[in-house]
Amino acid sequence: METTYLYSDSNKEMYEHILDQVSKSGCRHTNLVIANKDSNKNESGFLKSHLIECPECQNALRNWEERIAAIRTEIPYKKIDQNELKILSAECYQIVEQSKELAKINREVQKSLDSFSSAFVLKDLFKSFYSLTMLKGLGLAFIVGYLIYLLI
Amino acid sequence: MQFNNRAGQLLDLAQKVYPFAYSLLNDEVSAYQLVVDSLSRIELDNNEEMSFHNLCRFCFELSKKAPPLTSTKSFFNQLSLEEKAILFLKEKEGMSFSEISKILAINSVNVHSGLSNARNSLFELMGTHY
Repeated sequence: METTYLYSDSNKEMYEHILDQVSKSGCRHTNLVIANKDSNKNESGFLKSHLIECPECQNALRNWEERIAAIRTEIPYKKIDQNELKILSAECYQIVEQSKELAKINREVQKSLDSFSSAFVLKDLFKSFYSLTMLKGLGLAFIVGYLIYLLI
Repeated sequence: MQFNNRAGQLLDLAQKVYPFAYSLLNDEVSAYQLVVDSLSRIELDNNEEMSFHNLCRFCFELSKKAPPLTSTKSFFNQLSLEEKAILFLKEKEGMSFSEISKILAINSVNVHSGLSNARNSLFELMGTHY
């Protein structure tokens, strides 16, 4: 017969819970398993077959299960009612529209910022060209003035 | 009104997250407002992905700013906000510790101890009535 082990990565959490609970039962067999749990994971196979027979461990587990079931019933789980759902659907539509509008505004702002920065680049170019021309003009005036001075 | 796909997605998520919001605030109007606020925050922020986990995260964050509950008959509502969130996500949504730790922005060890504390506190509160 194939042995099914309690321990696997998928049910690790459940295995830990079971060990935690049966450790409180005071059963010496399970305490042996718990002592070896880190060294030999296959002991969980023994634990599973043991749980079928041992009344103390079964009680410990049953208490825990009842406790968890009682806790679960105490946690509220309320679904949204139909009237609120209708208003919520309109609200969702509005949120999407707002988001679209915001994206549009963001795009326009970005576009303006880009054109603004290119205007600055143009202005800078114009300034450098202007100062260059001014220098050239001054140079030319100086040469012309010097020539006139030589002629006189 | 023409209802587009995106709005439909938001509505599905809002319906899923509503029970979580209600469990945190124990009031229909406040829970509804919390869901709408969380949806708006995520939808209007380009950096946030619209998912159930993110929506839960925003709900939990925003619920911290909500006024405290005044009169509560339920034992569950006598727990702290974090304990309520851990218990709900674990017991009702069946989430793993790592998923809960991402939503509540706390580490997995704290989720483990938080769950244990929340179960014990709730069981103690229920003690005389159970």
